[in-house]
Amino acid sequence: MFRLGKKGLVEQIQLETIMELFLAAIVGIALFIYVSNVSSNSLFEQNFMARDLGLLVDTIYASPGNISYIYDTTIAENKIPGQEYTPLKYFRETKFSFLFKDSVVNVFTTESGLETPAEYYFGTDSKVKSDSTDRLKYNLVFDKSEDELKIISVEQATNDEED
Amino acid sequence: MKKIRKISKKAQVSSLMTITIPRLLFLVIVLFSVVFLIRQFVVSNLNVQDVQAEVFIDRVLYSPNGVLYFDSGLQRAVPGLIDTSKLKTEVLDSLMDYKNNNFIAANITLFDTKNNIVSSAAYNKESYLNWNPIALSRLQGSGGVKRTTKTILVNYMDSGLHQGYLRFEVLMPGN
Repeated sequence: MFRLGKKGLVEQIQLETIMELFLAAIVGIALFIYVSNVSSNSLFEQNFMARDLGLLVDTIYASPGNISYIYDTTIAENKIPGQEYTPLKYFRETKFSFLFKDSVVNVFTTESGLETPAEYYFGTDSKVKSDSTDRLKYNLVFDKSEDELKIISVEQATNDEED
Repeated sequence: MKKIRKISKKAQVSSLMTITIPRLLFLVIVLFSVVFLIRQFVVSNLNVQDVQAEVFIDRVLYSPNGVLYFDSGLQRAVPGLIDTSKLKTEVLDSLMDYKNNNFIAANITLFDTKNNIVSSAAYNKESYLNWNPIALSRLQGSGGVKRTTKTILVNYMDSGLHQGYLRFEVLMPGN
């Protein structure tokens, strides 16, 4: 530090102001990055879908008769259910995939190359046959008859229809 | 015109520190306030225990492989009509297998219209007996157990058709 004249003091004030603005900009950018991470985080959607699917399977097991139900996974992409008709032969690209195995439903997403599943339990019925599924994408079809529950993707259901 | 004072080196350092420390403190407070506000408005908790208990009860009541009376002539289960011979722990355990004994437990009791116990069964009995005292303490959150109670008017077959009440006590450990 040295003694400054009038011009030096003015320059010092200017430099200090620039430094403060720079610090404020760093803080502002850090906050924006944090908010962006929070908004793009899909963990909430995964957890929501895992619970929704687990409860759905329990409800389907509870039905006294046969039931066939199409689960629209585009809900995860902020679509309001019921306002967009999804025909059986039309399916959208979805960033989630689903696995039903050993009374657990897993919802996967591949972001940054890391698998981050959310899981939830559902109860299987010993008198209703239910096989584990492969990783399913797109909309899901739940088809329950008297002694069997099938969970397949819409694509598989479409291929079965054409066959 | 504003007079600019010349100050010594030591005074310059101390004045700089005097100004900078409160500024940094204020900056940190603003930063944490913004983060706190964002966390307050972002929903990250999903509690579906109430819904899960309701679905469990509905599954016991309506599933054809559960406690419903099965009419062999009509070849269908009759909703709302309970077969007391099926109100057993083994039947309930085979009806719903979560492969996880720490998920849910329940006690189901059938009363007649005079409040006498006709029959009783437990689902996941061992866990129910372990969790029941914790549920009585009404502790919430992680380490606690949430109890959901529901009483439903039903008919039951026990040497004839009778009217009664089916009481469900569903226990789920806290998240």
